[in-house]
Amino acid sequence: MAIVRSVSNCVYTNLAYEEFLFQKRFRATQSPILFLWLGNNPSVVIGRFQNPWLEINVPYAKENQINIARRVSGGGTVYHDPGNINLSFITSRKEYSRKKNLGIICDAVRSLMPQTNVFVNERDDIILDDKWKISGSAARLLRLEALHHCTLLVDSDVGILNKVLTSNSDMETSATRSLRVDVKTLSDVGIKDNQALETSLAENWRKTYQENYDQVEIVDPENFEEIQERVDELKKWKWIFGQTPKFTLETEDSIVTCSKGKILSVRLKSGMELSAFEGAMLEDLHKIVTESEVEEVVRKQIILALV
Amino acid sequence: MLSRFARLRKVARTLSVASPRLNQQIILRRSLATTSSTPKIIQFALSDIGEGTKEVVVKEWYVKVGQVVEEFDELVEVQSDKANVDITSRYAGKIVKIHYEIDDVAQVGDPLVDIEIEGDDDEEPIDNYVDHTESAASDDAVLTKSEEKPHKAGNKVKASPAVRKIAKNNNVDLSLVTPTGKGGTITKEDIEEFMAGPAPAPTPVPPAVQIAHGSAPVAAPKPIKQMPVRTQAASTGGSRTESLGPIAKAMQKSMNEALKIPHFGYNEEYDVTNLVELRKVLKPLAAEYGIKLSYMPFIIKAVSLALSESPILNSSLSPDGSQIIYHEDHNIGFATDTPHGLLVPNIKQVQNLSILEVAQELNRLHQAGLDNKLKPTDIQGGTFSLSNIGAIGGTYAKPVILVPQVAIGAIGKIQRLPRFGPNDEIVARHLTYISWTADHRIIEGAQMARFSNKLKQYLEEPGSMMLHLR
Repeated sequence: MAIVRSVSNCVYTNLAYEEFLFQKRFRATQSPILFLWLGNNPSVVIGRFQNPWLEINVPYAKENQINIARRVSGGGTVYHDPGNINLSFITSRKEYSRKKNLGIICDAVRSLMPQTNVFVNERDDIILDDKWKISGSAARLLRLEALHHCTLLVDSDVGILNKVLTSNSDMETSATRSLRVDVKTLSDVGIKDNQALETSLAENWRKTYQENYDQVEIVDPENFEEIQERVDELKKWKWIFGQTPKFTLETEDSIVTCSKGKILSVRLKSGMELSAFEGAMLEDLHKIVTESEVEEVVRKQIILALV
Repeated sequence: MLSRFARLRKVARTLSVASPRLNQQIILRRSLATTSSTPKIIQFALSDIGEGTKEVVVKEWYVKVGQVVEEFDELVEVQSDKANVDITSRYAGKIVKIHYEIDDVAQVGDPLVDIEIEGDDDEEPIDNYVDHTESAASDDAVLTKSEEKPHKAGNKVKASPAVRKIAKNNNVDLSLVTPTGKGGTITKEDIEEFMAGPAPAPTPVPPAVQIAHGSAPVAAPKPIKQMPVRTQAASTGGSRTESLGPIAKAMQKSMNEALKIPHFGYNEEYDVTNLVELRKVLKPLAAEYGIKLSYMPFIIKAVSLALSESPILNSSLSPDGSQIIYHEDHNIGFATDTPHGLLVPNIKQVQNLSILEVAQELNRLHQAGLDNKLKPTDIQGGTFSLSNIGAIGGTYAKPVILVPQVAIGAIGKIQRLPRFGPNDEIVARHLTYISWTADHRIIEGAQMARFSNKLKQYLEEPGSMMLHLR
């Protein structure tokens, strides 16, 4: 059994390492792992089947150097920055219990500040002071293994969080939509010390899973050869944007249908189909339109909607 | 392909001739896998995935109808509002029906897939979430820390409970069976193979059954003589696949659309001797503007002049086929070969351009094509097309109409050929052939002929274009 803590600030590296712990290390050792990753550079992480254009204000993210990543578990979009803690609970499928894991977090918070009003609600969200969400959860369940990860807002910049997570409602899509809820951070109620919180989390995890451990393992996944290929994959446009399930976008003059990184069709409302775009990779579209002068109205609208 | 039962029977018959004792053993084992050899279809339902979830959304299928699966293979990924879950199969068999499509909502307890199995009637349901293959370590794990190296499987064999049951029923020692399943698991087929013994004589020799402990297999007649081995590998002559890029795909679509049009062809010879002479004179003048002057600008402008008198060739049929839409602008496209494929950019409003302006725009578009910098506006909006295939080669052609246009011309190479002069003398003339194709739903032969004749006049007597100078 192990408590592993990453020193990397790169969200892609940490995601790849989490996958490694889940699918390789746990399979081999069969003992529960708690993976802690804090202090990521500002990033937004969308769920496996989500639509980044729907969930994120992509131009804002790009302008402000906020990384965009897609993870392998489902669920909604979360914001990471140096003020949040990410925890991954890796166990066997039989042992998986979301409630138990979230309970650990609540206990850890209360160990630091006993009067904190924090509990797990019926949606299995952690709620502070009766109405503020301070944590998002997502799980990936395989036949024999379970991965449950959560974010915990300690001292994140909620202003930026609210700006970068946006709802784009002119999209018709079957992608999972995030549910927007008001958030607060633990620092708002006086808990600011990441280090103390981390220790408290580790201690409570140990108690709950009744495991013995000597100390937290500190790892640097950026030097870990084995995951490099996966890290590269996670950074690619093809995975982040290109995995988006089918969606239809309506602009002023046209209806654009896209799926899995390709434009399926562009139909002008006047009836004509612009076949030159069909089959074009959305990725290539960015290359074509940004280099040329945008005169044509439809193209302009597609960029604004998709970029 | 024979069913397994029939195959066993056939083998039994063959071997029983070879050895009566073998026969006896085979008969004992004949009650192998199937009490009945008819396949059974099981409706595999979506089991309870916990957390009080009653329904899920189907997100991704890992199997197709017709695919053969083993126990524990992943079938589908579903998503509840709490987790996304991989559902694995409890049975080995063939998928014969899939009950949901992507994004459908599935209820816990309802059938997910139908699987055709050939199995014992009394298979117990197995606990899907416990690892039954009895190997403590995954073969794939590669770890950094030495104390966590996976320990070897040792003498343990890997087989699911169903398979173990079959082995037990037939007195087969699993450690003698060659595993061919995933991760070294013994499958039902492996047991059947083991019991059937090596294949009968006519087929090429299989390797002898591999054994974990070195003891002899139950039935192992002498291996048959091997075919002489070829010393050099024959070339396989395989095929190479290449995915279609977006331009190729667009072309495919465009061609399919064109198939709907009844094409008719009309070919004509144009004497461009005078044009050749004229170009020689005008070329240096154009060069003063930095413009390279080929024959195409003349042809394009002449086509435009001819279209002014035959506007129906510059039209489109409305999508419902009830109206002819006459286009004011002559946006004449020309086929150009780019590194990514064939594109037909067009020069807008040729009716308003001088030959020099046409030449300039032609060059710009051609260069943009080569540099991969053509914009969609360059490609959209064409009303008539020309292909200068002759520049590469070819005299006559049969071009395909670019929907929604109604005509296209392919210009063959300009050749210097003998013709008869006014006094029956033989003269050298520069000739080209243009192969026209038109949409016979709205263009008639006569209209095409009239257009071609007008064009012929402009090309053969370029001076006549001056009559239309503004």
